[in-house]
Amino acid sequence: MLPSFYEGDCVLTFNWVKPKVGDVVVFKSKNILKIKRIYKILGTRIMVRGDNRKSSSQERPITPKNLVGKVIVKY
Amino acid sequence: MNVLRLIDRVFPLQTVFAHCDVPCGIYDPKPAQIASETVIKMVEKIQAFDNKTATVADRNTFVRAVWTKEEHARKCKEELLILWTDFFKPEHLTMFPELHDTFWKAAKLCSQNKQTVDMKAAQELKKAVDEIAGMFAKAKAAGQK
Repeated sequence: MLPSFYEGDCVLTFNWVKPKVGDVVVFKSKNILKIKRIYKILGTRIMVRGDNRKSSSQERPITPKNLVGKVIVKY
Repeated sequence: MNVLRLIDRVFPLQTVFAHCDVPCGIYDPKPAQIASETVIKMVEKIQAFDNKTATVADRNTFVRAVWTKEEHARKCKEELLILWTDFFKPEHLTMFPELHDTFWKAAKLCSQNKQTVDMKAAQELKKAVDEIAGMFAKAKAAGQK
C-alpha cells in the first residue's frame, strides 16, 4: 500500500459507513486481515487493489460480509 | 493521536497485511517453459522404454523419468498460477481478452500431463506455456512504456 501506508503504520477502522470507491478498507481474506483500496463496486462485489500497483498482489472481489471496516485515520 | 495509543494499550492491535505473501515483484515465464520442455523429454524417455530388455538400471531410469514428469508438470502449474494470479492484473484483460481461458487450459494440460504419457498433450502444454510467455513479454513491455 505504499506510499499511502508503510509497514508499522497503525490505522483505525469504522464499520458503520457504507464503503465507496476510493476508500481504504480492512477485510478478511483466507483467515488473515488485509488492507487495500476499493476501485470498483459491482453490486455486492467489492473490487480492491493496492496503491503500489507494481508490487500489489491481485485480490479476488470481496463481499460486505468480509469487510472489517473503512480506514478513517492513520496514526 | 496519543489518545489512540492509549486505547491501543487497552485493546491490543491486530496486524493487517497488504499482500498475501512477500511481494518480490519478480515474475518470469522461463521456469514454466523449462518445466514444460522437461515434460516432453520425460514422455520421450518413458515411451522409449523397452520393458522386455530393461535392466535394473533401466527400470530405475524409467521410474525417475515418471517421477520427473510428474514433478515438472506440477511445477509448471505452480509457476503458471503465480503469473496468472500475481503478475497479470485486471487491466491486462483489455490487451488479452482470452487471458483467463488460456491460463485455465494450460493449467488443465499440466494435470493431464501428470495423469498420462501423451506426447500430444506434452506438446500442447509447451505451446500453451509459450503463448503465455508471449503475453507476459507484451504485458511487461506495455508496463514499461
